[in-house]
Amino acid sequence: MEEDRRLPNWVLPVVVVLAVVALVLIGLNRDPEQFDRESPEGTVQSYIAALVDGDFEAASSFWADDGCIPVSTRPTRGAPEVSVSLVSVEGNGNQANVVVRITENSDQPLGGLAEYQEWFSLTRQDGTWKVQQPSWPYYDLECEDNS
Amino acid sequence: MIILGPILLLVVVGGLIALGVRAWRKRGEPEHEGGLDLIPYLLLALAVGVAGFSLAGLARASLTPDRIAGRPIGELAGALAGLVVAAPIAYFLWRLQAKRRRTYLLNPGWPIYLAVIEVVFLTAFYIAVGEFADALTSNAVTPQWTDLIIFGGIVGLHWWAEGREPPRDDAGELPRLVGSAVSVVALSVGAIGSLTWLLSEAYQGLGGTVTVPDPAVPLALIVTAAPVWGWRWLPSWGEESSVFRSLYLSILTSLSLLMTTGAAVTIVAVLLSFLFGQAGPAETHFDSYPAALAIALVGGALWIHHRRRIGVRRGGALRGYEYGMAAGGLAALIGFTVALINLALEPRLAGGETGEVLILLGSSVIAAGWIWNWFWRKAQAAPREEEVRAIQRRMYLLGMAVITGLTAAGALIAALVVVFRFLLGEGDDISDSLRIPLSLAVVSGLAAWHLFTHIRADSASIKRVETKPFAVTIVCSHPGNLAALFPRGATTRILYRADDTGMIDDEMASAIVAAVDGRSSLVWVDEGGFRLAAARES
Repeated sequence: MEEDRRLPNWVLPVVVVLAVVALVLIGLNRDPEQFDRESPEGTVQSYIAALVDGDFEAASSFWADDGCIPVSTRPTRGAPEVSVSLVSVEGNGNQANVVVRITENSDQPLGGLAEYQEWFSLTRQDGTWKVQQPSWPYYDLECEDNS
Repeated sequence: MIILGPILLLVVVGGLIALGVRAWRKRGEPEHEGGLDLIPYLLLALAVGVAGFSLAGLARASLTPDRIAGRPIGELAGALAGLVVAAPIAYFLWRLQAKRRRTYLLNPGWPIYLAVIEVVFLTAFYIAVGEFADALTSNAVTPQWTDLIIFGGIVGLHWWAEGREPPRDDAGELPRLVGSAVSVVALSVGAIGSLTWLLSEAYQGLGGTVTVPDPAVPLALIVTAAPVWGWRWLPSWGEESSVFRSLYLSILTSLSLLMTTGAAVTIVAVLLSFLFGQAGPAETHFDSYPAALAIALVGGALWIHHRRRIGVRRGGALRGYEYGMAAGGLAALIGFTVALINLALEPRLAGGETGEVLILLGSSVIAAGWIWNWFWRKAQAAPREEEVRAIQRRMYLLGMAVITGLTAAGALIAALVVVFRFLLGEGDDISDSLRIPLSLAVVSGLAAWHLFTHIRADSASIKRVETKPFAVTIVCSHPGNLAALFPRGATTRILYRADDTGMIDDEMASAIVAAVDGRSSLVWVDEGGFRLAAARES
């Protein structure tokens, strides 16, 4: 009797395959969340989107005037091939910290994925949020001489 | 709590090895046991692990609404590759092993597989619970809820499968024990965190200065781990404790008492240093009390519960607990003594407010020495013949002798390097460089000497017993484990009664072995107990 109550053997694999296909389709077709451009997370979103799209001049317009800035508007390794998720946002009306998780695709087939978190410090300048001392994906910074 | 994880992992690995050896020994009985069936189960566990984590990665990439830029191509590709390879293998092996289980009921592969899945995915589930609670209550934007569903689902699916086909034999306890172990760690972390939060609030309310931790993650762990632990651990177990349950009980009871003692020593040392004027301002001096009290309370509760489960009969669990405590006490005694010697003799140019640390180290040395002495004396007071053969005693003596002996040898080498460098003309004052290696060599060497002395005494005692063979004839309905309790020189002969009035339980078996006392005897067992008569030596 117990055997009769069991589902046919093909049901579970079919359900799993359908679920996986659905997840892949959702992942491919879902647009990134759109945040308010005036908010710290929206600023970081626009900044990273410009970098990913290779529009480095637009990206550099998000840099704050003071402190260290990259020596070149072009990142060290060109436009990053990444997907980025928002981890946390905190701050007040003048300063904010935005933490994102960056997943970087490896060039090698078996290289796997590099996943790490980046912190963006933002400051309010002329009514808009600006990225202070932008490090990722720039690695050569030039700092003001305060002496 | 940090050391609980690796130790539990060691227990699991040790259990797997023990079961592997047992299965290998039984490979000659395929008609009964199905031969060595571990490899397909371990491959199944690997495939389910890869498929499970790939599915979690896929769900995370597709469903959590926190993406702000780019498409998750890399995550999707990696997860799909893992699923395409692992899922069919998992499905095929699952069905294959399900068929084999109906034929070979006592295979250890099934409980080992369930235990591996439980340790991996239940741990992943509790981590996901912590991350979810943290995200809900902190400034994180999106909780990673998909991990909760995927890992919880995999664990639930295996509990359901375990309920349909409960694993048998001693190894059948392994999945429940592993589930209990993982859950009790999560529950303890949660309870310590929550109590620390409460006590920190109270400390602050009393005018103290302390950082109050966030209670969200600990509370979430309590809410999820408590029911799982209750369901896995609290229902009744088989009457006879398996080797795995004994090991679990002895490790957990030892660690919980060590936790409590460590926290209590900290509390006392902080108070002493305050009373002796070695402290800073009172409002900050006692800031370790909330965490220390929380650890002491949780460790104490764990100890009371598990110590009761061990009982008073001197079986494997009680021996494991006592020798575990003796080992912990001896290791701590060596470490704290060396640290105390070095701090006390360290030359100081200026300042150096070390009074508080010296009081803490001094208290730790006294506590560690007291623990080691207490449990070692208890073990020494147990009946000698049975005790010297106990595997727990041999592991304690041999294991600790090897560890302390190697430590002493290594420290001596380090000390000699300093001496030879001095003799060869390098350096003026070597006393500072010699202090640590020399003190470690002396203290560890003394411990190793003590342990080797007892190993030699035990060996002599076993040989003395083994040189006097004797024969015992027992008339009973069922001998239980009596034959296994007699020393190696004994020849036992069982004559079975035709009724059930002469059963031998563990307590009676120990009493019979003690009464026989290495002499040839006739033993009669009936409803009134046992009677013994000396037999002529053949």
